[in-house]
Amino acid sequence: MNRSDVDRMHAVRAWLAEGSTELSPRVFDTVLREIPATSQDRPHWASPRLAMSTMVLGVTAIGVAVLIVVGARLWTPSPPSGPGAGNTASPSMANEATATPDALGDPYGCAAFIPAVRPAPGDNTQWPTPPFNVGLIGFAAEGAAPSTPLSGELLHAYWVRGGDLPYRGMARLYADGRLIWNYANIPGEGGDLIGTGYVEQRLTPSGVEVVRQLDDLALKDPMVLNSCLPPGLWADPTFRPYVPAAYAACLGASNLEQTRGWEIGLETQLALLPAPVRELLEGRDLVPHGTGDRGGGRPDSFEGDPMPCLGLSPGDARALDAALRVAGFEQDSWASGPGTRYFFAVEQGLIHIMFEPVFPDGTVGSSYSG
Amino acid sequence: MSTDLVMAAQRGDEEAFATLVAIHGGRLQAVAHRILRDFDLAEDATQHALLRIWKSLPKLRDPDRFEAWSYQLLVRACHAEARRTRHWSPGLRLVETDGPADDPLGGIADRDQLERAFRTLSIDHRAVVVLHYYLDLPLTEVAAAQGVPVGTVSSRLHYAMKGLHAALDAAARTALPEVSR
Repeated sequence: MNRSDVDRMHAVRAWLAEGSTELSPRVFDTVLREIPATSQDRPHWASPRLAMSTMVLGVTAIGVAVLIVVGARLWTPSPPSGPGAGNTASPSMANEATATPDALGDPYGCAAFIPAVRPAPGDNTQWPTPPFNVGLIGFAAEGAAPSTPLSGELLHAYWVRGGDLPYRGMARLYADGRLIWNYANIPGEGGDLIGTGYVEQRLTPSGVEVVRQLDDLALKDPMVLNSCLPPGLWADPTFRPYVPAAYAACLGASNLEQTRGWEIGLETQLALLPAPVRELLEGRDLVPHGTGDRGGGRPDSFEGDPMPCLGLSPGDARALDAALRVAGFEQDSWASGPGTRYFFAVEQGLIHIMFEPVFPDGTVGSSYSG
Repeated sequence: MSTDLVMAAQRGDEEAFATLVAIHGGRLQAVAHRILRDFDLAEDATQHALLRIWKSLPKLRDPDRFEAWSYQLLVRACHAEARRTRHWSPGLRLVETDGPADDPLGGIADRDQLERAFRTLSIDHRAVVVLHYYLDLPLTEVAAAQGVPVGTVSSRLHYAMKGLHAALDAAARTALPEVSR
């Protein structure tokens, strides 16, 4: 008996999902006991304050202290509001964490459609579910007309949550009204392992302004927007595959054990590739990474360089895809994400090549981000 | 909202941090447990990570990034726990399960095979699998949590999953009866 990849993936996910998700009382108590005796490290970038005069510093300290005391007294968890609130048998702290407490910057009541982080037992609220396989996965159909206009001004790129899991995808809002997004695979919700693929919808100019002005990223989640924005703010609400005018091949490398990155330059990576593959990549222009993927989307201390990505026309991308297969590259069939990735072992390490769509602002996304 | 709590905790508000621990601590411990496959080590790793989070919190520039950032510190704590325990060789105590009626694992043989296969993986490989397939963090976030390039993470995931899938196939072939345990 041999299982399909999908079955095996579900089995691994199910296995990981088993077991406790509670914080041990011992850990909780110990942490709370030790906090008062544990001083916080203040960042260097806050140090200019130290240069202030003693008087100003003293006044500031008093002000901060007052704010903390007042803030601590004023802060009291409020019960979740919105349609899901009545279904919450035992409201949890996790629910409060994502509840949007007020309507400031939320003129259409989108907050009511933000799914709970961890639905409480008995909470059967039907949150909007992302559609599977409606967007771009891999390459667009041969001959498909690319999304127009071919270039566009990116207003905002951001992670989207979409449910009880953090950072499940990315969304990009363009000045011309395009909203391009994808959600990664979602365990337990059916479909295949990929997720939505890159979906394109279009907002009216007013719709763009509304989305821009929503003051919480959770409100900008595409599935939330699809639930709450009035039809008049959508120029075309249909879920369509985003068809890029170009693709990029992103190259990376690691040691054979994959315990660390293999810090070699692009030229060295190219030199290690089989000639038919190398010839299709040499002389290509580098495509920049989107700021949403490299800027706000990473913790502070990550200093790794982005993978270099080389621009390809759709035809050239397909030719490279074919050449990789012929050259014996191993296609990654396990991981989620609408991109396509390959691995190739050489004597010194492992070369990775991932295909990514190029977005209207001329940047490459991170579909391999799942 | 979590962001408000994070900002308050950054300013030294212990009550706010306690609330953050109540909100996120369970998930952190769940991740540590799944990486280390040991209750005691997971508790220690979570405790160290939470104290490190408190200590370093003022350095977090973007409070919205709290959750992903906390996983970064947790994975480091898991590494430290694995290194600290000199004879670290996780026992065979399996993760407790209620044994769901609709069991996608198909039986105890699968669990044993997965457990054994998972324990052969390095902490780095385990962390990738857990962060990506348990938490569904995108690989860019997993890369950030591990301080390595995305390509390295993706290859780790590829080979880790290959091993786990092979274990599942082996379980299906042998179809061990439950009484063997």
